Amino acid sequence: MSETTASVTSAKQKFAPTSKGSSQRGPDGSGQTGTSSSYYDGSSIPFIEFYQDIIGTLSVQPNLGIVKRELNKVIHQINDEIGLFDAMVKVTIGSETSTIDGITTQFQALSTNIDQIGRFALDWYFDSDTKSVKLPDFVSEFKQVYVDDEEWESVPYDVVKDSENSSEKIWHQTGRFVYFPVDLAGVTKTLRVRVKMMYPGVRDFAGYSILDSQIYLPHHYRILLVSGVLMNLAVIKDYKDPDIYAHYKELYATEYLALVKKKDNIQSTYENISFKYTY
Amino acid sequence: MLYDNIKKEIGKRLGDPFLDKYRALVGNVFVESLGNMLKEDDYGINEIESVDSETVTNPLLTKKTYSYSQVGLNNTKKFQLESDVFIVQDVLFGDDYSNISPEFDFVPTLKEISKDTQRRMAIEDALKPSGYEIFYIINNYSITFYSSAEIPNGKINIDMYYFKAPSNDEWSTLNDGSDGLNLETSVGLSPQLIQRAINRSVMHLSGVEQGEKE
Repeated sequence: MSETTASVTSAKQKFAPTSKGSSQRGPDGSGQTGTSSSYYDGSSIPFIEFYQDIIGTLSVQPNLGIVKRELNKVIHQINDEIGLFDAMVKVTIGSETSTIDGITTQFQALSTNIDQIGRFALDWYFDSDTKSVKLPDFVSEFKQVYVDDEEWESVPYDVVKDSENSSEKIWHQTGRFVYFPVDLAGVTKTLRVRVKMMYPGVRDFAGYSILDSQIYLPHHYRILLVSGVLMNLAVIKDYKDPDIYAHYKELYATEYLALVKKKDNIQSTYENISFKYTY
Repeated sequence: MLYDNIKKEIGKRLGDPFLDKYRALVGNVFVESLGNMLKEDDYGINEIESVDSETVTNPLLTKKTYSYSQVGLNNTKKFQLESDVFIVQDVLFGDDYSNISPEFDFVPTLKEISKDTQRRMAIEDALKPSGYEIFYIINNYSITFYSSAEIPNGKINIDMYYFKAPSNDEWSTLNDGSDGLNLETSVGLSPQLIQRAINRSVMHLSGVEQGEKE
């Protein structure tokens, strides 16, 4: 055995231009087939490709961490200014059994409730006592609830909690909690919810290199990300360059306007459905 | 060119072929001139052979290999510099960790960082090495390497090429051997470079003489 204990995949595989976050491809963007909690189920942008777009422009090569930092700023800006993405998330898988893969994604839930292993998508916590789901932090708007593909209705809290309504198809949302009349951890029902989510930033941690990271944003945001990051870098002392700043500022403004208009074509706005609660 | 002949050449140009007057000065002035040329980058890329050459026995451009094992998250390594380091020429991966033909399934990269970055790294994650980056800084007679935690465990060899300060003492000692010291073949200096150093020495010494007259 060699001393090398890190990943054995080849560099070619790692940096293949079309590589996509396989962990993101679960049905409904449930994320249950992998370890990520971003739920973005489109084709992602490999970070290393993005990095090469950036450094090719600058005369001084910034290190990976600096590009990551600036990229995350721009992603937050996109979340705030252009908007979030709609997602239909499968919160419970419906059956009581789970694959080994599914179990490992729920490893962190082990200590809280062993019955829930593999039952709920990563970062969605169900409390059987209050019969409520706690929404993950990256969910910004909660819109609709489907149980076994049937829409349930939003009602006031006291209606959900009324013991006479225990078999009704109703729910109630307050803050980050969504209450149900039934204990979804104990029944074999599939819960799907329609939500608006934030695009996640790029993360790296021990054993998961920044070089393997994916940017979970649609590809049409790529030039906006590139120009945003270059603008940010071009005003930092080490990479200061008024020409680069001016060029990419113009590009950013153009892309921004184009994307704000185009977004409605790419994603349905569901204007016919009024959402129940926003916070 | 033999070290003796260089000294005589300087003497000839100063009108003192037998070094009656400049014997005590000429060696030191020559190494000083050569040292100044190195400091001023007044040399071509092919004018000084490195220690990697098979024929050069006492190279001016030499190297030190820093070898350490990357183990887990213990990713800072500090070494004392060699005492004879004059000018650091290049720091690069040795052996298998080459950017040209990686022997492993990753390609590491080596970057010099500033003192400011080194200080700020403590609390700014963005400045720390990530991916397959290794940073280094040379200060206070030491070289410190910071490698990313992602670098697989194993041995890392990093070569530092540097100029030793040209030394009259060292060359005089070597020159005392039976064949004398040839600065072209043994030290790896090009004839042109030696000539320019001779010119500088002559200018320097004639300046000293003029100063004396005034």
